Amino acid sequence: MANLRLCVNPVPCTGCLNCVVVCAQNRAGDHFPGASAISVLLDPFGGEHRHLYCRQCEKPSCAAACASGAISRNLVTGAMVIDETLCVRCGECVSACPFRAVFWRDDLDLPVKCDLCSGAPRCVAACRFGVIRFLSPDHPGFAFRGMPESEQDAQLGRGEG
Amino acid sequence: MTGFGGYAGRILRIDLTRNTVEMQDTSDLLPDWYGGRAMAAKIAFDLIRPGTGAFSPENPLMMFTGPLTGTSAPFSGRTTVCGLSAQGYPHEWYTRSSFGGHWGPALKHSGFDGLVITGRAPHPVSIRIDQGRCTLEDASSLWGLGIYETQKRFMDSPGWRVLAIGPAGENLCRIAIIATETESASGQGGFGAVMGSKNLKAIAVRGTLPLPVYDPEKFGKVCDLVRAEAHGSHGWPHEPKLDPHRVRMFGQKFQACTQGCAVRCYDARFYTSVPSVLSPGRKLSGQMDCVAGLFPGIPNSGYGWKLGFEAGFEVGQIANDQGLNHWEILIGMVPWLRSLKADGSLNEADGAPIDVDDPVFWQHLLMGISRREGRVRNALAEGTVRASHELGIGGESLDRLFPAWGYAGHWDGHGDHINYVFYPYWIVSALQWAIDARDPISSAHGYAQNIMGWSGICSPVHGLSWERIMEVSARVYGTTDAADPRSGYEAKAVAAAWHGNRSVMKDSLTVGDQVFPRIYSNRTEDNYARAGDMEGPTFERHMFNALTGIGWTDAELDAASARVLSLERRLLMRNFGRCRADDESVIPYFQRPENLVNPYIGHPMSLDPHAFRAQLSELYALRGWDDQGKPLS
Repeated sequence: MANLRLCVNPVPCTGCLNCVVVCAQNRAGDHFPGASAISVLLDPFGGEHRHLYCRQCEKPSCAAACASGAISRNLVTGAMVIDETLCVRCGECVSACPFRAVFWRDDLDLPVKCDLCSGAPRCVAACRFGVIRFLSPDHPGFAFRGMPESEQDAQLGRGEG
Repeated sequence: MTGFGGYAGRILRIDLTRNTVEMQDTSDLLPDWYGGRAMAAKIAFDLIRPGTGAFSPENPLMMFTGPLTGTSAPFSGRTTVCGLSAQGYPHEWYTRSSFGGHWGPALKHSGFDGLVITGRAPHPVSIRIDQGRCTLEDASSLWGLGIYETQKRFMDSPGWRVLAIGPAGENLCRIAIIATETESASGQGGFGAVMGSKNLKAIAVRGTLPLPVYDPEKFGKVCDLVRAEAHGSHGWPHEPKLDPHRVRMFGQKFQACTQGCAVRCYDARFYTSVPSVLSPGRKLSGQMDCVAGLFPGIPNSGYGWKLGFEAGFEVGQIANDQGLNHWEILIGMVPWLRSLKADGSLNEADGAPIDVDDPVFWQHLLMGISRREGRVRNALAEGTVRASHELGIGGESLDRLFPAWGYAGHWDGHGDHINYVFYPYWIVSALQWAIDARDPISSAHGYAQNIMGWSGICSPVHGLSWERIMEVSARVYGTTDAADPRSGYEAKAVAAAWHGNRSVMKDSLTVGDQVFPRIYSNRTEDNYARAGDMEGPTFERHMFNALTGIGWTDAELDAASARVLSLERRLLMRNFGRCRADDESVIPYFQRPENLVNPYIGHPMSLDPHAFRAQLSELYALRGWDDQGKPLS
């Protein structure tokens, strides 16, 4: 399991936002998009929606930017997780993420990021269209066909991360 | 807060004449008036005095969400618009319309369950609501812009969802829409003109505020089950596919027409790149849903004009951008113009020969209507029914295409030729048309569309046998007669009453009409929809209870929905003198021969007035109304 990551192919995305609302509800209990650790920038006029989600990078910028050592890898899931007891709420992780996938949660005054739902991501289950999948980076379908090499790096979390 | 989950807790009351914004607690209305259409009906009954018209400043233009709107409940992104309607005929009756997209959820997360807008601003204004703060802004620079460009002016940062009118609404066209994104609109009702009469151009909302959930664990589980169960888009039980040619040529893709949609739909497609026919060199993008699929023309259907895909797509986008009602244009106006051309009573519209195969004619028609240019197009801006009377032409054709209340046919088996429904199923449509103040099918597709869609007529491979349809439907209606293709008038009032309540429920919770209520399934042994231990028709109630904590039974939710219909009826009677004779005015329309023949009968059927009146009486009785259609309580 430690090797599985979110894999997003935006092409079949219908803009339903089920991934966002389900993530938010799972994290906050209340229905609260501000708690979501995935975001979709809708493009209602061009149809090219953009997903902001964590790649669980091999060399994570968020952890590198965190002076208090609050972000570390969960060895079971492979997710980079925030230890809220160590977090000093400086927001450096939010600024550092090249994928804009660390979000600021106003109500708690804390950063939030994807922790892969302890190994069973809710967004993956909620997506009926195969946009978000949970795969090993070695899986042949991980970098989907036709994706430019630069974006493959991004998908794998190897780019600037 | 309201003490219940799911509600934002406040309603915004905006008076554009006095330039004031006030808050009302949603809890004033709860739990009886439990969301969307229900809340609006209560406010309308208390607020709208007899003598008020659609364009009176006092007419409240209301946009309401429901408790489920925008939550993880699937298909829950819709918003219901209510008020006195500009399109209504012969009166500007109180009615409703709804739209999808992502606007309603943003309104709730901005802290409001709904808006009640009265008055008339002295100059064009827009409303901006950002995380609970509401401001009125000058919109003079937006006046005259199309709906797309208007929205873009607000979208300089992420998260803004915008509702707007186009020139058609500004110019008080009675067939003007209020729209968001490229194809989500409050289409029927002419509410775009009501908004225009208030000098209100747009409402931009943005919000991420939290909403409480009564039982998060249960609500999440119920929603997951319902989302996973939903299939087909509206009774067609198999998954639709993209067209490889259009994917390659025009970037065709599936696109949700409302937030929370969890199926690939028959009706909704987005196109990222379609070459313009009217402005060569330009590329167009946008959504094409539902009835807009008729713009290209469909051979031998009654809609057999020959625009072709590219021109049809472009004309549809013009209608969207100008803010004109697709249903009126495609099912009513253009077929009406075609018949006038055919019988020689109208050959040209303000200097342009009527040529429905020519996109230039469509552009001339639509742009002229939205700007009220020329005698014919200015008349058509009043809607086809009023135009026919004003111009003194096309009465016979009008009677064939428009069942009642100023609206073109819809799942009625007579005027609407694109939806396949035969006797006895359109008897239920006729009953629904009779007691409504608009085309009733908007949130009541669940009867005729579901039965026909699941039958071998529309789904020869994946459909169900008539016997199985009868077995499943008997669980809902209590009798196999309600859906038996060999039946007559018996039990049709039962089905009309049941779906009438479900229509209110969908417009109030809010959830999408093309999926709910879930009745038929091809994922269960007996083809009755189920998820976990929930039966299909109870999905809405399970989600509602887990979210709000109101804890109603099915009967209580049904009764609350019926109460809304009775209150709307009392408003129509008090303010417009609505009576049984009005309801029965639909009879001549349905006395024409049907379009499609029931194979068990073998010849076209038409309405039997005597049997219909008996069913109408039964429908009144089921509603708790007297024999004149007056609610008893």
